[in-house]
Amino acid sequence: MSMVWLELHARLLANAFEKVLGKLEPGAMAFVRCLTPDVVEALAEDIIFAPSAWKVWRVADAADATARTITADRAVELRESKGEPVLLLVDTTRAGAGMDGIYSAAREVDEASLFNQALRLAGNEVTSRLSREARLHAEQAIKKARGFGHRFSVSPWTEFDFLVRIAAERRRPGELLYLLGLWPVKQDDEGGSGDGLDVSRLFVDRLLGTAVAGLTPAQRVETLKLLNPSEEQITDLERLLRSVAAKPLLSALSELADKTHLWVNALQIEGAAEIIQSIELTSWRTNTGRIARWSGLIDGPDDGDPPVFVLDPDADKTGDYSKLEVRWKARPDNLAKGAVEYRVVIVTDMDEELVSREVSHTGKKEEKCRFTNDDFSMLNDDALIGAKVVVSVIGNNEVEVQESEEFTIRFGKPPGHEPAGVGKKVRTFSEGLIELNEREIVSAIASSTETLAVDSKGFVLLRTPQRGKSFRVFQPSLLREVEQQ
Amino acid sequence: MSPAGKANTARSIVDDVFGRARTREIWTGNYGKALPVSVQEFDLSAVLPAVFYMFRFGHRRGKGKFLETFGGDAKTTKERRRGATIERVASKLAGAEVFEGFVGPTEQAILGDLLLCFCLENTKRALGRHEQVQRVAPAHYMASWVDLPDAVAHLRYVPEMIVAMLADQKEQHVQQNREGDRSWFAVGRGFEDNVLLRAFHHGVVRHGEYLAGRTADRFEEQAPVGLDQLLMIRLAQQLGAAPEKLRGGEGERISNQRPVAEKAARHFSEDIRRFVRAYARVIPRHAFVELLESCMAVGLTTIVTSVIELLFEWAVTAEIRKQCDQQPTYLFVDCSNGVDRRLRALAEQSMDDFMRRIEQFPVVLMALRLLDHGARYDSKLKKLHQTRPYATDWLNVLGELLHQRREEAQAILYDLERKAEELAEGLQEDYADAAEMLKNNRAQPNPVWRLAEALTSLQGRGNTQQNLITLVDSVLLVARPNGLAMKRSVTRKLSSGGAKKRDVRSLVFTDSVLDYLAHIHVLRTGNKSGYRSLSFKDFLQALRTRYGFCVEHAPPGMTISNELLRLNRVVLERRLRDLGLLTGVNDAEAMKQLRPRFEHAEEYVHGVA
Repeated sequence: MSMVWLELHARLLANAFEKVLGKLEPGAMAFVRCLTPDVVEALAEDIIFAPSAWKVWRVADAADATARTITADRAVELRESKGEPVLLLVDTTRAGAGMDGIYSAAREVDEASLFNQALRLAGNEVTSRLSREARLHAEQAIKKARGFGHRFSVSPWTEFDFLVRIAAERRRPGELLYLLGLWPVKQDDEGGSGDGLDVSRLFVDRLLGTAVAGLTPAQRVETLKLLNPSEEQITDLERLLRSVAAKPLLSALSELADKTHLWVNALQIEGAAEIIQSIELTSWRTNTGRIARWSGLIDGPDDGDPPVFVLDPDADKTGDYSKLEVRWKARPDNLAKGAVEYRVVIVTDMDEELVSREVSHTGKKEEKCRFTNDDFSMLNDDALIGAKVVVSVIGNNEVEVQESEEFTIRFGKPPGHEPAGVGKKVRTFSEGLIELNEREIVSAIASSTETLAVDSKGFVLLRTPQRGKSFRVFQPSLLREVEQQ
Repeated sequence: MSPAGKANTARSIVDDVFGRARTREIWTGNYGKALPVSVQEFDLSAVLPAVFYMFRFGHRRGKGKFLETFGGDAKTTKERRRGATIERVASKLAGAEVFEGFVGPTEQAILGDLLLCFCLENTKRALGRHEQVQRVAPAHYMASWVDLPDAVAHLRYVPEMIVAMLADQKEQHVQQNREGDRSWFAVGRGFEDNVLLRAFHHGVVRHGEYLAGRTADRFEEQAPVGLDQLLMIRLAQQLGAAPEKLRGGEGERISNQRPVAEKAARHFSEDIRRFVRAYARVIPRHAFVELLESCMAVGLTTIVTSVIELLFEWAVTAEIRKQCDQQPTYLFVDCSNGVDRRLRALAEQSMDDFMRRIEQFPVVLMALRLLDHGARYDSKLKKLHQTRPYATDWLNVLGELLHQRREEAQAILYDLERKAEELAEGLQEDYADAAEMLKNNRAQPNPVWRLAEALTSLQGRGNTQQNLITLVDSVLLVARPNGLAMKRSVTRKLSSGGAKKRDVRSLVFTDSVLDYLAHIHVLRTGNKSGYRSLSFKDFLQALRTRYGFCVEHAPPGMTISNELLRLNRVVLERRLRDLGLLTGVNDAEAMKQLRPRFEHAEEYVHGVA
């Protein structure tokens, strides 16, 4: 993707530099090295970029006065001459040796402070040339592009460029979303179609995401559940997906710039359904006929016996709680969140209701409901009850009620299973501890004499107070035995 | 089910349309003329012993005596394989004349641990003395006598490709070098004529001619060797002889097919030669083997990524890029090895995008196989079928067919169009998606791509894309202490709601990789001895241009804050200093120089020098 350079880039950056550099001092010299070589070159060539009272020079490998470019030697001379204030735009790939003196003596304009100002100015420009809504929309888009937990990298320059192009070209933010790694959104004049950012992200994930890369273009398009797309749109979308399959994401999305008929809103997805048609319980059994662990049940004592739900009578003391999980799928699968309420009941083999729950539709791939010890507190310790789970839709008799297979409820000791530890595997704990941020925590852990837990796979576990920093070290059985002796 | 009761599998339908022979050729994940390895998982650390064997004998390794010696008396091969455990090997060795004092269970356990530490590896890298032994480590040249893994094909033709690249011959197959041939990696000659064998054959002399029998290599008992090497020699001696040459369908000859990524192949050959010559005698053996594996990981990764980039470009332009312009994939490296979350996220994003892109690679290979078959049976085109050592010209011919720039293209594409129609008809009932793909000439007018896409989809993801991912993992030595990448399992929120667990990978520089990269780049170019002064900046530049490792630059298609790029650079600088690989007395960038930790060996002049 080649960079689009506009007058506004230069003007806003000049203003940002003025703000950051502040009051002038005679003989001052500042430099910036956080801009990419193409931006540095464009700034130097653009005479509009002229922070007031500052003389601007680009530092590269060859001098060219017309392009405001000098070499590192000349930059050093300028620093020593202490003349008029100079701002050096350093092309870090071409500046060569000799800049070290300037780096250590002159003032550096760092990326954070420069773009702090530049983004604010660019945002203001969007507000004044378009509207406050457009600015908010653009800022939302940037957040959306970064994803949850800033998982996708959006550099400050990209943010700035996005805002500048919206303002300069008086474009709606949705049209330029491809610059941020999102699917472009077509917005009507009234802005009635909403910001479309969630759908934009959905398009990227379902059409160009790593998780779906193994699907054919037709299959990927199908997962979007488009609402009445034209044949031309489907064909063009499939063609596009084929042609960009081997391209980096940003390059792939930039191909959409002039294909407005493939943008969000030109392509609409089916809205969420409000009417439930059916429910289907997920079996507690795996393909091999064994009871799945997620169910909370265990296999019956003999083949053909119903599965068993074991409750520890002393669970409140031992902490050995049991859970019974029921899962089901609703049809249609795009049923809106909260569209229906389910009633999940455990009934005995005498059709007596033991316990019931009402849960709202979550809109997830699978709905689930869990029962734990507290739900069975009314049972005696010697209870042995045959039961089943019944799931129905509240207030809708047309949807067939679903029943699970029968199972037995009894009290006893739930089968013990040491869970595998959670934490990064390291060769030694010292290898993990160097990742901690605070020295005090490391000292405290190192001087601790507490015995560490061992998981079912023979790993010693170390949990640290720092979030997300738990470690595991394999303990050979020989060492374990030695330690125990 | 068909009336005859035969299952209507995708393969059987394709068989019916294309015929058995042609289906066998296209129903695979490989295209050896572009990338002469099987696109599957392999163990890089098990490759070197097979390479030693091929250099020594000039042909592919066949059956040896490992299972016969250590597999016990079980009847079936499978049982013997399972029976060959560290415990059994140790007990057998302990009974040999050359071992004394290993009679008791404790001594044998110690011997077993030594074997596991230096010489042998269990399946799935399991610890313990009761697991099946699966691989042999390249502690010494004599490791080539141990036929592990028992079928050399399990190494996916990687040793063959390495031998072909290093031997650098011109013929169809790798041949024994003749007297006076100028080569750093002579095949079937003396140990001294091969840089790699010279580094590993310590204490072993050959009795007889160059290609003398399988028992001609003998260990001179007076030669001083390290404990690890001695153990390997004793293990090999127990077998009595080197394995036989490979017999059967696949043939004993080593194909001289090289990857189309000529530049990356040349760099690989250069790097391995220079590294072995300079450091084989100065770095302790165990550390040297680790660094050599890192060297192979870096080289093979560059070859694989370069081939992928070249073929993606070929699919668009119909041409393989000239050698001087070839490039690997540019990938961001997390120099903090996952300690800094922000850098890790960037490296994962970069690698994730690469993994997304390579999902298309099996389709390109399928297109190549389809065109290759069509072109090879064309009377005019088959004359152009010269693919060894490099298939660049042949691939350009196939590209011209794909883009219909040759008159022969019409007939070939017409035939493929018919096949597509016929196949769509056959698939309609059981594989409607694939049939639809084949018929949809609006979205994809070219029948080659329609067929390639449909056939790849019919093969299944597990046989195509997933195999490619395991190949990439193998060359990267993922999650190994001397590897190039880390992998972790993450649960990511989906935009459609819910979450999905999947693996994410990131490129990292382990200490071993850093050690190797620093040591190889401080060597003077060509065959000059000694070190050159290399600034940190030039080092970073070399990593990027030669291997595609981006440290202070964002890879194409990614935007990265400059502050993070600088942080990555600073982290790398600090790690190099900590490892003793960088000196710099002040802030001057040019004064930050890389330096080796090991003194360069002054080598005698080789015939080529």
